Amino acid sequence: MKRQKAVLGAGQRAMAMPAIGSLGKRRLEYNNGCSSVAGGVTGNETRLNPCLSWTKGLLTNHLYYNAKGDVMRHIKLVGFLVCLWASAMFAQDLSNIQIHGFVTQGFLYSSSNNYLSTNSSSGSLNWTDGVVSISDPVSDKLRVGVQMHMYQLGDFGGPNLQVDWASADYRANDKARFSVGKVKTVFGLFNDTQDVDAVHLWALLPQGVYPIDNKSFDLAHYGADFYGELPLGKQVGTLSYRAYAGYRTLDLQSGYVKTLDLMMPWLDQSLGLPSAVVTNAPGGKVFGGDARWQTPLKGLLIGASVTAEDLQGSAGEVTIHAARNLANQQYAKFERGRFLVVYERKRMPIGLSFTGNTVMGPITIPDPVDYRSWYVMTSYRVAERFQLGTYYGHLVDAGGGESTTVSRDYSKDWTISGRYDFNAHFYAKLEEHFLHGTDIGYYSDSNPNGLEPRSNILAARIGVTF
Amino acid sequence: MKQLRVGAIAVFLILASTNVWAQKSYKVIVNPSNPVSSMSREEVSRIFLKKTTKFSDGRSASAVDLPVNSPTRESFCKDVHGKSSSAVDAYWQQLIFSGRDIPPAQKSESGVLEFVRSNENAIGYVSAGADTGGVKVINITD
Repeated sequence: MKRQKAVLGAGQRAMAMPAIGSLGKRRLEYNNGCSSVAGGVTGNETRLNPCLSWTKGLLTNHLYYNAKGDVMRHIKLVGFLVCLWASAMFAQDLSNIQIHGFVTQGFLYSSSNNYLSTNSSSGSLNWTDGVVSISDPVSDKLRVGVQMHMYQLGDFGGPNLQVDWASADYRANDKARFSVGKVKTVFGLFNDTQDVDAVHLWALLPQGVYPIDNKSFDLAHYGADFYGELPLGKQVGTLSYRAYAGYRTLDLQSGYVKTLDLMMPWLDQSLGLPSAVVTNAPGGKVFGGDARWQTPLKGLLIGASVTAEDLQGSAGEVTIHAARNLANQQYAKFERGRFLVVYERKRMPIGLSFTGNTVMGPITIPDPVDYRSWYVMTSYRVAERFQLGTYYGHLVDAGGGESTTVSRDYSKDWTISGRYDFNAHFYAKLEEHFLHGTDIGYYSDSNPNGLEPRSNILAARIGVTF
Repeated sequence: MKQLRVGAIAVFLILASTNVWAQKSYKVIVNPSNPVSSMSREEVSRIFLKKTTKFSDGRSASAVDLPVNSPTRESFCKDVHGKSSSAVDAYWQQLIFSGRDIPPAQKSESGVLEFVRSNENAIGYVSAGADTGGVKVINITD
């Protein structure tokens, strides 16, 4: 799942550079395939439930960005939730419904290299986010809601709305709550809010732990969560816990799939197969949990998350497989008054392999990766409307015994950031990244002349919330 | 004698600046049928942040809030949650956009009074000078 360098040498990577063409071809396939796939699903919608018809436009992105089997599961689940929400709406007073949203526009400029598939070395405004969420507290114990999301960052995302989350939440009591549907995945301190720009000081969170080009996959799962909070007394603090099970699928417009697509030409050529791109997005079951302890020391939170998942997908005659891997993350946050300090570390080993159905029979090429990342950040609210902060993030891929001294195997990011809130609904951010290493955030098709080991990146963002 | 007066004035100014003698600029109110007469800051905070949905006696609690730009809300947030109103807003934005919860409904001061009068499980707060006829003002303890 890693970028192409995991299996390509320098010369081989050069072979992958013409992938610009294949990427363009893939886009063409999307455009051509959209009508036929969407058309097929339209027929299925009729069989499923008439309530789904109005969601067609909203779900279009899911329809043609995912393979047929997953599409059907997505439609059934999201459709069920939308109908549940709709029926709940009509069953009671509408005045309790809350509608919230935000829109952000970003700008990236890099001193060298094009970052996150944008044309950042020339300055890029190709970075937009928009969200609308509707929630209805049906009763004291039951709440239903749906959030639609549109985002575009370079080649990632697209103009269509996607279902960000759509869930029903039942609160038996404070210690036992349940969510079912498409639920945001709690993993570490910020995974489930990494796309909520308004709540963070940073234009870009530490990319080694929260890679923005892969957020569409990391953000949510289809399934069920059990969670709650257990007060342990003033002397001990409070324990919050969560466990979940479900499945999730890579977004075809994400960094993971783009990386796979960029390496497929070389892989197919090596195996003597016709060149193909990922059309059956890898997906699989996911299980996980999180426990966090609000310690008796005011403002100090300590916690850990773990997740296990496997992935299966295909690209032409090549099947993509990742055995069940166990990722974990530990964190500590101290927040008091205007002052915040955070530390997180994450390990994500993935036993990735590719199997090609060649004329000589199946041939498997292993491509394990082992991401190890951490960051430390601090911020201070200088004035009611003005915050300053800095962080240092570090990521290294220790998979396959690769050297940690080669720039493509690590990423170090020292960042300085500032945020000004003009009022409760309008803010602006400005930050500078001093990047060393090219392990994450770079793609060969947007850097056809290779990568410089160092780059400074200016990131700016403005946002409106309601 | 002069030194004593200067010392007394200094002590007064220090105490005044630390709000030791400051009066709360808000009153926490519940429905008259609610038996509760006092609550700790932590209890009130947990209800308004929806970390719990019950009063200490087990009855359901339904909080109602003032608008974001209300000075009374700013005072309440700082005193009860230990955070500014904007920090509490950021807390809610995290929960809203991650699908975990939504904040209590926001109403004007008269709306809060009306809501608390007509809902036996309601809890709200209003400015210290508000007419609290028909609702019950409770004490907030540390």
